[in-house]
Amino acid sequence: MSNVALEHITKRFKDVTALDDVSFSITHGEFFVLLGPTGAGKTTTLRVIAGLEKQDHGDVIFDGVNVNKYTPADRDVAFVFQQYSLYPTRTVYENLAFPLQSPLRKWPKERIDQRVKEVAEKIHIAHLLHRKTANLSGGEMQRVALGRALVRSPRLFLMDEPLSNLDAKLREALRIELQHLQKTEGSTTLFVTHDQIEALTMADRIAVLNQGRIVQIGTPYDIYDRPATTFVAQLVGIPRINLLPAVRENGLLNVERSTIRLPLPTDRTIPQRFLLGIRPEDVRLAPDGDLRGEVALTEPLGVETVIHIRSGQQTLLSIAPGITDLKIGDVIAYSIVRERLHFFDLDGVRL
Amino acid sequence: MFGLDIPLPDFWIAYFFVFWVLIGGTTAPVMFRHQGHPVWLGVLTGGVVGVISGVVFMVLLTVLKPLADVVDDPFLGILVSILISAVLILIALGWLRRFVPLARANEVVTLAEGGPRAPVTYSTRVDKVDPSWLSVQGIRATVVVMLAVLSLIPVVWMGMTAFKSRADAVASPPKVIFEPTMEGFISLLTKRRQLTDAQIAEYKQREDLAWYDEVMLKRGQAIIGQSDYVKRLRNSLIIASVSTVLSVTLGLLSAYAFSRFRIPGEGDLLFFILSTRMLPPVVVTIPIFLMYRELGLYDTHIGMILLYTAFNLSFSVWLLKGFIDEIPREYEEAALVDGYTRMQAFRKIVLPQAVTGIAATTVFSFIFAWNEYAFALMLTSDKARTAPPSIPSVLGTGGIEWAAIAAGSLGFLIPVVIVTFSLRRYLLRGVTFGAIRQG
Repeated sequence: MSNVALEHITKRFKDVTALDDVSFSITHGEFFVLLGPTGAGKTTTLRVIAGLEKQDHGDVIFDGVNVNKYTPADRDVAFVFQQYSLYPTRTVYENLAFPLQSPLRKWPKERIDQRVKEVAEKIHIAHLLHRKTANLSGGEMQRVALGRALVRSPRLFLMDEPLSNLDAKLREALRIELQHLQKTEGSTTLFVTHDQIEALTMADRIAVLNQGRIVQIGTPYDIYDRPATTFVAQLVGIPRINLLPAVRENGLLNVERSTIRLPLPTDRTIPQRFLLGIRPEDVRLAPDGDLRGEVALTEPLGVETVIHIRSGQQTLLSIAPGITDLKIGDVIAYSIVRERLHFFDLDGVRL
Repeated sequence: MFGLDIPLPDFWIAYFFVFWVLIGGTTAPVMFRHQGHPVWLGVLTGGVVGVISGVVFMVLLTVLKPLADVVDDPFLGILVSILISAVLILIALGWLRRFVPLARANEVVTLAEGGPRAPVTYSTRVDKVDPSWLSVQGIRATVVVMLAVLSLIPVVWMGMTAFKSRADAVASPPKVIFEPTMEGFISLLTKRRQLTDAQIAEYKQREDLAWYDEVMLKRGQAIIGQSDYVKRLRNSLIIASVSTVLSVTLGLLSAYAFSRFRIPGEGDLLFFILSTRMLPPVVVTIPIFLMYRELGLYDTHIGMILLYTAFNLSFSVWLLKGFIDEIPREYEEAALVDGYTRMQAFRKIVLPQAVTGIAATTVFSFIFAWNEYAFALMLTSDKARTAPPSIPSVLGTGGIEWAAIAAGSLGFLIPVVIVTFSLRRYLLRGVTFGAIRQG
């Protein structure tokens, strides 16, 4: 049963089309991530779902009911803003209690108090309850913002890059906590981010958005292993995927301006000219490898080392575990995992 | 004084003396403290130095007197010589600073330990701050205080005149020390009748005279009823406060709409609203007078309230729009999503944050409505007449009653002072800083 569905949503701001025929649906209990670069229309999508922005065309459907005409309050969604937007001049307690005090809910005081304390306990802010929000650190603010969403047990959580204002360590910690929370609560969540690592690690499903259009919807596995376009392929994965122009020649795959020759796949038709995508982890250094190249640069990251291999005028990125003793200029042998090549036509669409 | 030919009236001589004593009194203690002396020694020395500076200042002024002839304009000449003398003395004081001796070790009051090695301009510890910076602060404070005193003089004079008798009020040279009397207030609040000598004698026999009757009897007058002043003041109060409340409320709502919603022709509308304020009131009084007469609004409270509200509205919309623009809209959006209607979000979230703007707008609107003269003069006669056009009418019969006018003005001043003072806490910015992170 699909809990939330967008159908052909289009939204324009003056001359700019922010959302262009966007459709997707989120299943109950799912962690759904909207991934895309800045300006892709992710936040607009959230705002349309929350009712803060009115779409020009299309329908927002909650549990089979068209909510186009519903006010934000009636939609029963919770919104976590990137900027936290905690109510100033109020304490943390008052911030958490505020959604429950809404005349819509008519909760008695004791019940509000109980719920606020319960949630504060859960997200470890019980000791902050009587502090003013202006005196909190970034991480604490974001916890309070999360808490304000959690107290209500809404139909849907909308999170607009909630982690992107935090420093790396804190972001990682909160990411894990958030994921854990989502799974234990079984809450349906729509999470917006431009960070592919956040998307891959947290999502049940990901929708990739670019310039107001949905490019691909799928599980993290789908997105990473079967990117629909070169845009998606380049968006996910660090280091970036190797994307090389190639031609078909004498039944072989020939990467232009390089010495890389590979056999053509037999299970699909490949045009004369195309783009070849190779994930860095599929370029493997091996003494018995059938390809030769020269080390152009090494980037030791600790866990692994990114090696730039020059072949002709092209440069391939490769990953080797640990720290290597390779030097610039060394000639090395490597092989490419043939089953995991990605083929795109010149417009960037997967073949 | 001292046989010197000082080209200044006595008042200014006294004024500048106080100024120099204050300068000495604020700067010298800083120097002395810095060198390890107790503060009282600094204050004492500062006072003496101040008096000496004052004398030197006067001497310099006399010396510089020929300058006035060179400049050709006596006023400008005095101004220039004052400036030159002041700068010379300040330089001399700065130079004399070096001669403040360092206190002997056993007398040192406080010695700075730790902290920055070089003097700084800001610290929570007085002994860490560069003394020259501190003394500049002292000089600045002195200048501000002396200017404030100067600008308060008319108000003080008005207050004094209100308590003067008729003769003292017009005395020349003006009396600074006088016997206070309530004559001014009584003649402001009452209607009186001139008595003949026989009547005065008869009145004096009576036992039932109240104290105000007796005060007026000295002037040969009998009180025969209340004047309109209180009524006028009440009219002013009603009209000014109702129109202020109305224009701030309406202004707040429309400023919010202008700030938050996409309104077609927003710029034109805002300009139109502002344009109502562009004509001077005098120009539109005649048409409004004719309109009001036809509509039966002439000399009514409603009419004046409507007019002042309309006039203040343009101002309050513009002022409040600026304040509301500064409140991030995420706050309301969070409230909307959290289950509140637009109006509830406005009341619970926007209003508390717009307090500064509301206070400022209230003060300005109130002052305008309170002080307005031209409309009130033209559009009211008796029933709704406000205080500003009625004060000149006190001038009326039997010579100018300066004491009464001063008393009237004083009473007229009080409400504005009360409004401004009670809102001054909100006029300060930065009371409510939000918890939004600018990413």
